Amino acid sequence: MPDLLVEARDAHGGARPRARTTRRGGDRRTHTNSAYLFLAPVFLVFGLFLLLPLAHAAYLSLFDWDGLNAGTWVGLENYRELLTSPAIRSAFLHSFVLILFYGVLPIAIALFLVSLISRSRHVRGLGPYRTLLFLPQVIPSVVVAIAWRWILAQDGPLNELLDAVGLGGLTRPWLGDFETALPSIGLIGTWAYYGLAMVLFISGVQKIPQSLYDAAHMDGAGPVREFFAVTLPGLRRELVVAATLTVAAAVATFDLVFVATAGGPGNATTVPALEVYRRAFTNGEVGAAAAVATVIAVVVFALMLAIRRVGRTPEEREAGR
Amino acid sequence: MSLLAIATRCAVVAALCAGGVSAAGCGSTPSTSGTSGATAPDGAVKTGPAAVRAAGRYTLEVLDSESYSPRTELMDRINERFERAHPNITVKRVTKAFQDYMSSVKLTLSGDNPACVAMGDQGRDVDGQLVRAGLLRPLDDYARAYDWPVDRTAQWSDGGDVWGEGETYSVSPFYNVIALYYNKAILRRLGLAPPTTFDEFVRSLEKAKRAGMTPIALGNADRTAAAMQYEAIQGQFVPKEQLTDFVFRSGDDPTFDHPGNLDAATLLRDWTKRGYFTEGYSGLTPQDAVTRFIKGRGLYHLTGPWYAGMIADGLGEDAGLMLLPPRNPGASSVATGGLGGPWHITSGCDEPDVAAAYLDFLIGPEVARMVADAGELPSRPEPAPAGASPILRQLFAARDELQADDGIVPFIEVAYPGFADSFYGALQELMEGRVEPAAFVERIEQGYTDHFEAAG
Repeated sequence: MPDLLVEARDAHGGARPRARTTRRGGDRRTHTNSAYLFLAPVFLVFGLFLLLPLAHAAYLSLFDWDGLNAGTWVGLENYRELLTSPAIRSAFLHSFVLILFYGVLPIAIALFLVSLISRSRHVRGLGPYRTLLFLPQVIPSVVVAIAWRWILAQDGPLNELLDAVGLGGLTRPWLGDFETALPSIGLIGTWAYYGLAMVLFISGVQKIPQSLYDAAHMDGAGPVREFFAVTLPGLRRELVVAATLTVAAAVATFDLVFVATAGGPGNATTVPALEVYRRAFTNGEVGAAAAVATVIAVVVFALMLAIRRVGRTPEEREAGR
Repeated sequence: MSLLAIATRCAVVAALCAGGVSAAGCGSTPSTSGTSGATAPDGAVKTGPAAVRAAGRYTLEVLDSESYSPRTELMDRINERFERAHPNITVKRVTKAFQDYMSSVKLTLSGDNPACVAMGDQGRDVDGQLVRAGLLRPLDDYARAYDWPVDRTAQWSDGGDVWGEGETYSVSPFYNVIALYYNKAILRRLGLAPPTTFDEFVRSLEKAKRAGMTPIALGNADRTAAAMQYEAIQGQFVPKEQLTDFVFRSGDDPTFDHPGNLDAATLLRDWTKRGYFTEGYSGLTPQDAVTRFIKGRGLYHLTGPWYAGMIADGLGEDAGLMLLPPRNPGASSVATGGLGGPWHITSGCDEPDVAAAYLDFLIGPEVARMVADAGELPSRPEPAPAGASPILRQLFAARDELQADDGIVPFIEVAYPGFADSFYGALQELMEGRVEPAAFVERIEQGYTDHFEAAG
């Protein structure tokens, strides 16, 4: 998927300067018409399997419906309930906390490590290394959750380690403690996603021309300066991709929480998607569940637009896109 | 990145979030015309082998949630027996893990060609909704013809709004009892006999704790085990009628706001504070807890019959089982449990006579023996098999005692859809001291009245 995104971006990006000139030139229509023809199959599949269900879910959210009996049209009542529900509020709050752990933290860690790698440009054995980094992405998150539940248990390896180094006072059932459950879930996410960010950044940093590093070197830039002047701007696109993927994962997370804590202790780790599941499948409130799902979609979309805006290149900013 | 790529991503994510919903939603839209509850046909029903023969060659479709070993193998053997007894019938069994099953059963049964026989789950969140949607066939006619035992958890009326009275909708070959398993070796080491009163039981907890042992093995990571502890204590403080009235919403004053619940909540909080439960219980699963109990890390373990075999194998001679002793010496015991997962006939079933014969077979003597031989607890008062472990014998005795004294109370978390979640969450907060016992009782009561007021 990331490769696809990168390719799509490259194709578009490559055409950009020409597109800007042709907009003034006037022969833009012929370009776009044939493009639509090629895009049609994609749009068809996209619309049929993504937009339509999405719209259907939004439509369902306007009903009081248990999924079986006749539904009653309630208009925006489900949304009104949702806005006043403390359970939903805390669920979204938790997912924003998870953005820090799923997105900000992995990206920061990966940037730091990549900036080290970028100093020595010829990394030997990059293939296996990349595979290892990507491993958490390949393991089903249910397995990840079970493994971490074991690691974080009262008599799990983490607490044993703490005991061994004389920090026995800190031991606790990490996923069962009201204070540490959410950060623990978050750190599992950090573990799962920093590899993804790493893989993206490694491939990105290799595309940065060596000449830029040489120039920075000639100008007497230290490692910090070099990072901010060369590596970071060079990784802009990868940063946007990484942020997009991880932030979406944070807001939409379900399986990890479902298996690791089931939203507990109390409601300390409930997330919006878990509320969707509960409402639809245990409480028999399909309409209300669809309302939560719709709000998740809107929130994710808003966050994506924000990331996209922040991640614009100077040229794009100039063009007002 | 192009806007299209971003939009695709968003939509994928959103669709994933909405996945559960759109699965429910695709093609099925809330209809404005309601489905009416199924009514039993007026004509007399046909029973017995002749009725099954009359169906000719027939494939009986059966949906169940008994996917776990050894239960799933047992179900296969039971179906083989049924086919052997009725050569014209082929049983087509579809099984799914409990949680998956329960999240999809309502949709599965509302499809065009639902199976003839299907399991549900006790309570208003599954069975109640299935009855309300008219997906289940009322079984009073067959129950009378076959003389099936009557159980309140199987009865519904007013189109599924009233539970605990009315038509029978299900039977179950299995029985559940939340019992107190104990480690005889640890009891001996503490110089104690199995407690005969609740006070003795509480004193033994303190004694075990003082001796540096874990009094009660508990793993509550899945949030259900704490409810079993609470319900066990609750059964000693809240009168049985009050409890069943709360669950079935019957009687003059169905309420959680009973002094007994405050006592039970206070005690559960107190036990947690004193460290009577496994350290770090909140991060351990029920399996973790039973494994610890088997390894001698816990004097008691309160759980259902599903772990009886494991405990019998693991602790051998040292395994003991009893019902939680009553507070008043000589009083009869009260325990949570009752009939196992309910088996229904769907209203769309084209051969209800065959389906009813199947249900009758499930709760008949032959299957009861097969259940007992498999080390499980049949709902039928069948004696324990000859080679049964002492634990299993005690389990059978406990069932007989509860059935004779009417001492069984249903699990309270099925009182209304969504209650389980809020109840489990509130219990975790209670045990960790984040909510006071009085506020706990108030919160449960509030949710209960709110739900039924909203439901009308």
